[in-house]
Amino acid sequence: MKKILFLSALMFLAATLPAKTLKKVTLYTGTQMHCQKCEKKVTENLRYVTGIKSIKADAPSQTITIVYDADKTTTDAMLKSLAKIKYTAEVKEVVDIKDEK
Amino acid sequence: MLRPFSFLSLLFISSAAIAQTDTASVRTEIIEEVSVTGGVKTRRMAGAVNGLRIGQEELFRAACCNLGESFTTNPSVDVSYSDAATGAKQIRLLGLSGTYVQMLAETLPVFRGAAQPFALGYVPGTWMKAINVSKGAASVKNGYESLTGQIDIDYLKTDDEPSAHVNIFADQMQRIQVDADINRQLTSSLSTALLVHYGMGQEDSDHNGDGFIDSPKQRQYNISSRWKLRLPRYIMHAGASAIVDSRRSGQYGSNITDPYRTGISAHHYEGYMKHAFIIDPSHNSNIALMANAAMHLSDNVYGRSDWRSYDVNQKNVYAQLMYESDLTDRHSISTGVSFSHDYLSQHVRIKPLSPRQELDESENVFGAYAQYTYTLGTKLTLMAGIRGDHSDMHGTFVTPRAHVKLSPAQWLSIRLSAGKGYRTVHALAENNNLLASGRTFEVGKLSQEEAWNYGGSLAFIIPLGERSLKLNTDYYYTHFIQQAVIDYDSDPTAISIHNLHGRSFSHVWQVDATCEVVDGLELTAAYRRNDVRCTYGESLLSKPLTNRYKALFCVGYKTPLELWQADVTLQLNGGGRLPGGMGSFHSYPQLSAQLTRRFRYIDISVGGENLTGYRQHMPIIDAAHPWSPSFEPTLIYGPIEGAMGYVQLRIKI
Repeated sequence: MKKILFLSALMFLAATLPAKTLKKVTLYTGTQMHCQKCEKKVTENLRYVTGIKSIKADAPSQTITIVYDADKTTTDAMLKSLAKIKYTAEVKEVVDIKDEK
Repeated sequence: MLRPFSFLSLLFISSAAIAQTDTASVRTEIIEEVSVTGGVKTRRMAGAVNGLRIGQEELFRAACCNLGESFTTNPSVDVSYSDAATGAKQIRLLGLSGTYVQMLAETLPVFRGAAQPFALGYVPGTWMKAINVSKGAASVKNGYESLTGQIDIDYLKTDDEPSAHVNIFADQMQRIQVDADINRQLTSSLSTALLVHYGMGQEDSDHNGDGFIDSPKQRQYNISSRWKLRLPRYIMHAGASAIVDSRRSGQYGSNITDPYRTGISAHHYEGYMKHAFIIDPSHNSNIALMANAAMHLSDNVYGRSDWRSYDVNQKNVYAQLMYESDLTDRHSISTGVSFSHDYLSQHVRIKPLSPRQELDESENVFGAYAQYTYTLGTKLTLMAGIRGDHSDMHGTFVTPRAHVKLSPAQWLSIRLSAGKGYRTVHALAENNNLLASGRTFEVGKLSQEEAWNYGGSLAFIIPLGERSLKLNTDYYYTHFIQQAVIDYDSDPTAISIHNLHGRSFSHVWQVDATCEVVDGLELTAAYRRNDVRCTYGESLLSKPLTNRYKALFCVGYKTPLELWQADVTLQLNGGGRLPGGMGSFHSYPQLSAQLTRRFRYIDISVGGENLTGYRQHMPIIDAAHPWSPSFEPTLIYGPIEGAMGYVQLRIKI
């Protein structure tokens, strides 16, 4: 009985949660990001942008791959955040990961 | 006695006259280039010496007000109060006193002699970029003194990404600390950093009701200016620092007519410079000169100024000229000469109410060393060094040391080391806190300390699916040929410091394992066994106040973007022997925890230390009679203060 009640509560909670639209964007930084120090600097800057779920900065390919909630932030907000540390980047690719409840 | 003016002249002469170079500077540069990219957590250092680099991320896992509080999550290093009167803390490595650990700041020896008892409180936690801790015999490059290991402090770098921080710490004991740091690249080649600190604690609580305040009323001002000039073939580091530190402790109750109080007022000034000329970058060939000079003034009162007191005016100068080169990919050499000068002008009242005695100590040591390293890729590193030194106090002596690192596979590293070390004892400068005891205090004519250290370690990286388990185990044996023994046992009414008559050794075995079990969740477990014994009188006994074992368990969790971080550390400190037939003390646990939330411009941490609330029962023996021979505040084995909560703000400007 307890199990049924618990599962019902879980389903109710899931049904009432707001929708999340997760997307993955790849930003190209060019030669500005060339070492592990740069990777750290970029990651530490972007992590404070609301809605970002994960960041992978990769100096060899000069790209930053970001998974984010598109309902909470935009790629423009990420580019503005990078501008604070004098980085310019261009959006290479945006893909929907999944639409989930 | 040298006056401050002549001291400054000495600093100038020592650093300018010996001329133009610095090896450590170049080596530091090389080490930096390898290690900066290697993350900021604790990691095993490359090379033949068994060492750990404790980075900022590790330091900030617990309240890290100063160097003494930086080892909470480290299984190898113990930090404890020296006594219940002064708030001095001492470090222990391989089960032995901190005097056997060579303290370095970016490869230069610091906080020697009279500065050593309070040195752990002289380096604010937020000033440090990393601490390099090495166990066992160290390289002969840094001298002959490290008997059990080295602690090398890496300060914040002048040429790191320009930044400024203000750190504010407050705890429930009304201890407040404010630190600030700023670094700037002034030109393409010149950079600077300014570090400042203010700390105070004025609470006079007496939770155990013994009439003595639990922790000293303290005030400290600390400032350091650091500079770096980097040209294509020349690198210079220079800087100066000043510390003003005062501590008051004892009986502060209003109804005491003749209160017993201790007071320590210290001023510490230091300057350093390192010059490196790069001769051939393709072979890492360089000539380097490094030098530093320090003056430490301290007025210490125990009871009343006419009861027992110790004043010291100490000057140290150290200079080293080095040449290093990689002859081929496999063979490299390092060779150099060094000079060290220690001068202590001391006034001491050892016997209560007696006239003060004047005791001057002076030592000049000239030395030379050569070290050869053979490197076969990542598979094998052999390092052998020898140095000869001549002291005007102890004559000529030779220091041989050797290290081997073998990595037959990526998952296994084997390190072996053997080496000799020596140390000149400044008994009063290093142990004057023992004057707080009511016992009589005797210092014999002491020889130079001399010991062999042998050790080995195995480091495994065991794959566990996509993750790995880092498992390390090491064993070290230190065997003293000559030692200054602090003896509470032979005579229960006296503390005497005398030469070793018999045997003294330590066996220390440690195993530790670290694993990230799921993303962000890291577990560390460690266990260390100490067997430290020495001859007191006619008997070979366990060293008093030394834990027989230490167990440590740390859990750390970080969210994927590291915006939240939680750390919990549980220590179990094994019991040990109390001196003079007083029996033994039992094991006790200590729990600390910290939660951090990082925002763009501020990090906020809340935490607690000693949350199990364990306090040593009766840290001061016969506290009701402080003027009697049975008064004893120097037998400390555990925490004096109970559970403590704190808040720390780290503002990024």
